[in-house]
Amino acid sequence: MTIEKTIDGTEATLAIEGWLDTNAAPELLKALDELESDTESLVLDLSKLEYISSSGVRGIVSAYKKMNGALKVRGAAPGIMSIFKATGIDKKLSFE
Amino acid sequence: MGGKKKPRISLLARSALFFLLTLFLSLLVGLLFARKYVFEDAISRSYAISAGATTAAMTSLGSADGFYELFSDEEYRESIHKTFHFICEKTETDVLYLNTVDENQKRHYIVAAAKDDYTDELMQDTISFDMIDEEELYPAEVRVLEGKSDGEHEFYHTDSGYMCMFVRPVSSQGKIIAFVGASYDMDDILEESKRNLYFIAGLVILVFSIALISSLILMRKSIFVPVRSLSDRMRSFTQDIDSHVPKRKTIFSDEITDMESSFYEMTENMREYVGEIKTLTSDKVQVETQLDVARRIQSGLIPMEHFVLGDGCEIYGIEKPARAVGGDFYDIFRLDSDRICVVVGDISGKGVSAALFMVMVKTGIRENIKGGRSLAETFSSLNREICFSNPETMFATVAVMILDTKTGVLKYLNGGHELPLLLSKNADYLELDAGCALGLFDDAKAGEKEIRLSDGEGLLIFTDGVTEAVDDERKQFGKDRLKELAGNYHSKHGERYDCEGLIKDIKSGLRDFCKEAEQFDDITCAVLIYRGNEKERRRLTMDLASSLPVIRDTIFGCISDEERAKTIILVCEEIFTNIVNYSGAKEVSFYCERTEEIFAVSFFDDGMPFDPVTVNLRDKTFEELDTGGMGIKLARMNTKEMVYNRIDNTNQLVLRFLSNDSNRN
Repeated sequence: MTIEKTIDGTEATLAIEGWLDTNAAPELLKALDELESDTESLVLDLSKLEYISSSGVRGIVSAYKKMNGALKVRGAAPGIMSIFKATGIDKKLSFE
Repeated sequence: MGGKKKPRISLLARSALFFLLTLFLSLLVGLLFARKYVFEDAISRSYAISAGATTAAMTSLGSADGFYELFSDEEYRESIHKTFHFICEKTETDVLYLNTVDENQKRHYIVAAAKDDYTDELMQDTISFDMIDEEELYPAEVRVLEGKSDGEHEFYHTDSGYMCMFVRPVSSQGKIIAFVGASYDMDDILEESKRNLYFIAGLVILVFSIALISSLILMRKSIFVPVRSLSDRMRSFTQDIDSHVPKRKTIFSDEITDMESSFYEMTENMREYVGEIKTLTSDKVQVETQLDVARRIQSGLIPMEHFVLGDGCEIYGIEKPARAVGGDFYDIFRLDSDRICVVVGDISGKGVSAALFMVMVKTGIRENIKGGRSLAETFSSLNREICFSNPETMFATVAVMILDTKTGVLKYLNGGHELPLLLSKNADYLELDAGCALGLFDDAKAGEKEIRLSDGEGLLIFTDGVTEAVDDERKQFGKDRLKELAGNYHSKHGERYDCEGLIKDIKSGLRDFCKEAEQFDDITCAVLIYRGNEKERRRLTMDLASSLPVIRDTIFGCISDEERAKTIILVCEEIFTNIVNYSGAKEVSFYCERTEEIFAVSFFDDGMPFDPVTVNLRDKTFEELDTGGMGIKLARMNTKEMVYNRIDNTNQLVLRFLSNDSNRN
């Protein structure tokens, strides 16, 4: 899995590519920790995400908490969306 | 029905028409003959009358001697005239006369009398004695004068109608001196005859009509109405076979009542037959349904194909019965985390009884071995059990083997079955005592052998359906051909046998051999390959970083549909992560199985008892979601079935999913 970070003013975008499984989840948490302190909103670009497990879902919940809700999710594939729905986080997340 | 509707003329109308035509024709013919008869009758009667009149006249004349002198006397003439008039009245003759003829063939009137008084007086006034008539003589008169007979007659037509004339000669001393003639009007007789004829004809018509009408009424009652009601009943019978029509009550029996009772009998018989056919059909349907149920149960018990990919082995079994329910079977099941058992068998006979026997044998072997019995114990125990009660005297050849995936040791038992092919560098038949089939003798012994397989080595176990498949010349496929085929597959694919590939090659080899000869599909076999070297590679350690990719690759190797594979990988990851994080297990093994319906993943671990199937999961709020517990929920949602067992301090969890194919259906 790779995470690519882009910053536009106070908005940060993390583009996650590949498999976000138990092994990769810590990388996401690490990337969240490394966000600049002036980051006001975060976009998770999931258009190249192939797989997500519960660890990955937990990482996204952590991101939501860290940003106090200022989180947007972009380009989640149907397979990923169905896992969001199964875990119920789709109700809180805002999708672009 | 179909085609053009034919014009309908009822039998009644047709017979009436026929009767009328017959009547008309017979009347026509009858009238023609009757007319002739009537005319002839009139002729003969008028002939007799006129002849009679002349005879009477001749008698009144007496002797002809002195004839002329006598008639010169007017008184005499008057008396003769009176006589003639009297004769006329009596005989109904119209005119009676006496003439002489001169040399010039001319008549000379002497006496002439008529029947009715008016004509008679008229004649007295106009005709005088010896008056010469200028008219030609009638042919009859000429013939009389020629002296050929003593009477001639003639018919002629005048304004007043048909007349009949009779003439007699009056001779004196051998010489014809005069003749007597009588004329009779035939019309009256003709009229009378005609009247009689018409009366008879009318009578005939009347009688005929009465006969016709009464016979039509009779026929209507006894033929037409019964025939129509019979045809109505036939029609209603064809529409509703259960419609009972009561028998018609009659006094007499005839052809129609015969027909009716035949029809009645026929409907009763047909109703009976149809009932029987219905019962038979429903029986047949029931039998077919039962066979179908048997087949489905069997296919549930024995998947048509079963692929097992685990740490240390690869097994592929197929079973395709040629008939609805077959007697061949195979079974693949795991004993514990290291040992796996493969059974291939062949039941004598086919059909439902063979299938039932098969179920008994298969279950018996499985339960005995799972219960911890050795191969030999299993065989003798089951054999005794079968021999104790085997009314159908059925038997089964079996091959049972247990592979220890840690060591590669394979224990093999043969109960009268075809010896397996050992798949090594070459393919060769395993050498051992073939043993005796199950169910033949209660003290039967099976052949046993223990071999150690190296990595990549395996066994091909088959039933005689494979080697005894025949081509169109009834030549068998044979063991040598099978050995050659397996050997070729080996040399083609190097040292690594691929179970699925070998079975595909066997199938296509059989298809090429049998061609169109017969359905070769009665093929049951299993390939087992030991993957000793892969055991390490495919082993799941407690290190998630190395183990998760092993799970991922194995499942991708079994499931071709990527999205489907990802869902299964997700479930496996959640389960495995849970084991690693919470169970405290030191060792985990897993293997995959695929049949045409189910894809299953099994995890065996030596950690603390934990049943993810029944564990109570509290619904968490969104804020709590980052703390865990979500994984088991995801796993449950995405499996078709989850089965947990705790056996010998081992957690055994089986996750079942629908196979790709079934999922698509």
